[in-house]
Amino acid sequence: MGKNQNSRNLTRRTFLKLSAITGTILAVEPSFGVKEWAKAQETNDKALKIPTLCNGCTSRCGIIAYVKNGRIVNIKGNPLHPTNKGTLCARAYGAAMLTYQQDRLTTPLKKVGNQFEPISWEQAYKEIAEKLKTIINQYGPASVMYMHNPKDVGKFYGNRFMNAIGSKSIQTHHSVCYISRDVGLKYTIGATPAADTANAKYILYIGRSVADGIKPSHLKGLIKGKDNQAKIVVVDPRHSASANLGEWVPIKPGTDLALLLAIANTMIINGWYDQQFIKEHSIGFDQFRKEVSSYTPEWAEKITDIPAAKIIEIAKDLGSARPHALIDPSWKGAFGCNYINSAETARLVGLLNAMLGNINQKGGIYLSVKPKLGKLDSNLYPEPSKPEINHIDGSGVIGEYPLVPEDKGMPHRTPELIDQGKVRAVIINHFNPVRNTPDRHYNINGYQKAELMVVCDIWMSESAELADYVLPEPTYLERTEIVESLSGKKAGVAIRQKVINKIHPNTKPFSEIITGIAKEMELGHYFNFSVEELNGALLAPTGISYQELQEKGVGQTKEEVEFGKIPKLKTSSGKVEFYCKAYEEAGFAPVPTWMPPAVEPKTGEFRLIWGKQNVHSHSSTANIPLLMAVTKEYNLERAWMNATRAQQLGIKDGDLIEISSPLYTGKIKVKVTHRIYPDAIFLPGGYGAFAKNLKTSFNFGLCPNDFIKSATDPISGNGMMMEVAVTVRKG
Amino acid sequence: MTRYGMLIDSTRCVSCFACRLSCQTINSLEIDKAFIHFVEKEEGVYPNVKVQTLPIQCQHCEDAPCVKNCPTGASFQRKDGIVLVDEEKCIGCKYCITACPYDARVELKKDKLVQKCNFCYQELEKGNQPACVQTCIPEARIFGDLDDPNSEINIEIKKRNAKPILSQYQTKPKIYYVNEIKVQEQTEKDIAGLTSLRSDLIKPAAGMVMGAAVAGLAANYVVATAVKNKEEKEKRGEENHE
Repeated sequence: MGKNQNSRNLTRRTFLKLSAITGTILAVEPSFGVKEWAKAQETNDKALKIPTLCNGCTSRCGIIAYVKNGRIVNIKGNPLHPTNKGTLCARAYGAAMLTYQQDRLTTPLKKVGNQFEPISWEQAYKEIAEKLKTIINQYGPASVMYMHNPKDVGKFYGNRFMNAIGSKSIQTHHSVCYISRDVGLKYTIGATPAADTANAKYILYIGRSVADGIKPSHLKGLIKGKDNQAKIVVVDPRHSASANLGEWVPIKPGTDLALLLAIANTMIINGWYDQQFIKEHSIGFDQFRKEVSSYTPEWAEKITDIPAAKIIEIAKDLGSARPHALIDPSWKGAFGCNYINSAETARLVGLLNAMLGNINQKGGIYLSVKPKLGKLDSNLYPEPSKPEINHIDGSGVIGEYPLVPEDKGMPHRTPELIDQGKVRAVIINHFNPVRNTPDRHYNINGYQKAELMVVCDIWMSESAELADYVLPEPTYLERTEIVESLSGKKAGVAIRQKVINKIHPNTKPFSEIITGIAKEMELGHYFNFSVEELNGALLAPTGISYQELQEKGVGQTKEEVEFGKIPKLKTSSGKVEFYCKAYEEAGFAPVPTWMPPAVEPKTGEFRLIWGKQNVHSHSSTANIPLLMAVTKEYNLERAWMNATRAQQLGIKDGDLIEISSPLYTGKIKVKVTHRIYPDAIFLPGGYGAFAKNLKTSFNFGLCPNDFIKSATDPISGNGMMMEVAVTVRKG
Repeated sequence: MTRYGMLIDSTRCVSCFACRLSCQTINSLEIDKAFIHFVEKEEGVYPNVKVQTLPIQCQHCEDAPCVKNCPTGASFQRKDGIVLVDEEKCIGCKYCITACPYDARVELKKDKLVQKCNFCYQELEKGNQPACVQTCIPEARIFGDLDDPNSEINIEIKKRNAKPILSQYQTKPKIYYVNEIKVQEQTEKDIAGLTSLRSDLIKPAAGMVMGAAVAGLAANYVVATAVKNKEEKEKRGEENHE
């Protein structure tokens, strides 16, 4: 488009004026504000375009940061990154503001009395190291707990540190996210697969909303499937943002297992499954057939409130479209961490997909490939060995929680472990368990008793407020992390790298923090390398140079899924396990069986269900003003209530309602809608911050965790996040 | 000639707000000011229910009431059809806000002027698509040349039977929507927000340029009321969170 084609154009000066006066999004912090931004615009320098990885959620999409005069002025999606292919969700833009956020921590803090006082890094390292040494000497290394949302940098440095001190006490956020999914799929098909929705003819989602908990590749996959005329069925108590893209089948929350058992039964009775695949690639099918024979669609209708005819239709459609049919492996949704039966639901998801003969078939599920990365030369960089002890929280321990993966643990149990004196010190990175696991007071009371609590964060979260030491990190745009694996149909690597210098010079990334503490504990020899040296070693076998990765942000390695070929499964038999010995040995039913949810709302009560909204990632984004502005403008914090139930209770749209569980009572405005199962109340996750220094999110909205009593599912160790009945009245 | 337009397929939109945020970011807007807003429409009774979200922004009308109503000529249309605001001429009188049937114009308080979607004309000059199109994960937006019969947008407008919304105002908008749910009277009011106040002004204004001389008491009253309503709306929103 030539300029002379148009009668008028905005002059450069006019544009500058516009920019200068309206410039606030990425120029929100006054000291780096309007004038600075305008100055950046006035220079003739072209913006530097630096690829890195987003931190709006944990999917780590590729972004390109536009940097002028040391300031980020815009971000775009990296078209080379397979997860987002140039697109970005709302959270990415919000997250880009984190660097300039006013609530950021700028210096290490130590709690003295009830106050935090600034200290030097040297003092922090020295005091933390001394305290850790004392605790280890007195109570043993297992009493030191490391908790995180596991990403490559936290896994490498955090786990290496824990190995170095001889502790296996590592917990990830999975018990309040998707641990049950992983356990159920591991013990049926060996691993959590991915879904080739783009090529599927039939896609069944069980409680997963790819349009609410957005991972761009998942949403794009659904859309491609829709474009290819796939039949899309969304089973969910709530008509989610994904439901419009297909057919909504509302279900009584917590009963997905009954639906899947009835689908299995119907497929078997009618021969709507891949009999040859089952014969050749599975064990225990006869026992399974016998077990599910009583789970008729009519039986399931009474439990799920889904008409028997609809259940038969789903079973038939799945069977007809096989192997290009799939049940999505989901995320948190219905079987990640919410119910006592979630792991069994996940097992059924694995087994039904197997019955469709769709493993590594186009339009089915597939087992992602990972890149083969290198490692540091242990002659030059001594590596601590993994301690041979039991996990302190009982994960993977016979007689306790034998099926819970010991590399994940159960973070929601830590307050009780502290209370019992089993855990004495807690180091937290990239995680906020005080707000994001059930029961605020149980959490506060527990963590308060810790002899040492260290929190690494960018701001004063609820967990940080309780800490003895708060160690400030630079934001993701100000730090370089370690090379990350990209798994999928094709494997690859990606890098998060510093795109601007640190705004607050006295912040340090987690890799440096851990190294600093380790040195003070005479464990520095395990950390005698720089991130750059580590990245070089990791990349060595890939043939991708560090420089190339830094320029593109992402690189493809040679591994690729072989579609059409059934791989050896990572179950103990190497086959699909309809009968699971490990379950039997652990004292659980070896063949999946119906198990009702632990809590059944009485007449008049509601089950409190909750989930993600696509503008937020739980509490980690609620404090971002740009994203909270969307929440406030569209009243996204409201609770959802069925219109008929609301009418019965005399509640109108926009009214204030009071939600009560035995643990907590909170008031919130209500969205009255036909898009929800009558006996369910939906709350968005992520609001209800109670850390007073989170100035944007403090005391706004409700957090589902406040209503939920801390409990643990014995099979997969989940936090039973929707096992709660509430009463509702006009507030 | 090039004549830019957009298709928004609401059957693909998942109401994720990414377009709004990408637009705010590239235009460096104030946190609570956005050039794209959303209207949600739910239809049906449980369990047979559908919902639709319409992202609304400047429609770059060919017969743009904002251009006609602008007393200083700050609002103008380029030959490629993009409607822009020349800020050196804008006096912040807000007549254009009142004139726009789509509620697409935003008062930027810090600047005391009015702005709106500019189809990212600067991105177009670099060969890029508008930010909202680039960021959209479910590919609900298609941008292109309405004068080129072979352009993707023209092909898809025909294929998907996309149509402008609020066409009764006869402003010849250049954003075409794919809807499953018919945009009913109530939704139109939601979109416009201030329809009852506006309609009186729009109808006579549609055919004439409203000069500064017309900006008498009556018009001032309308503008003031409109702004007051909007402020009240915002205030109500603030009270939602106990």
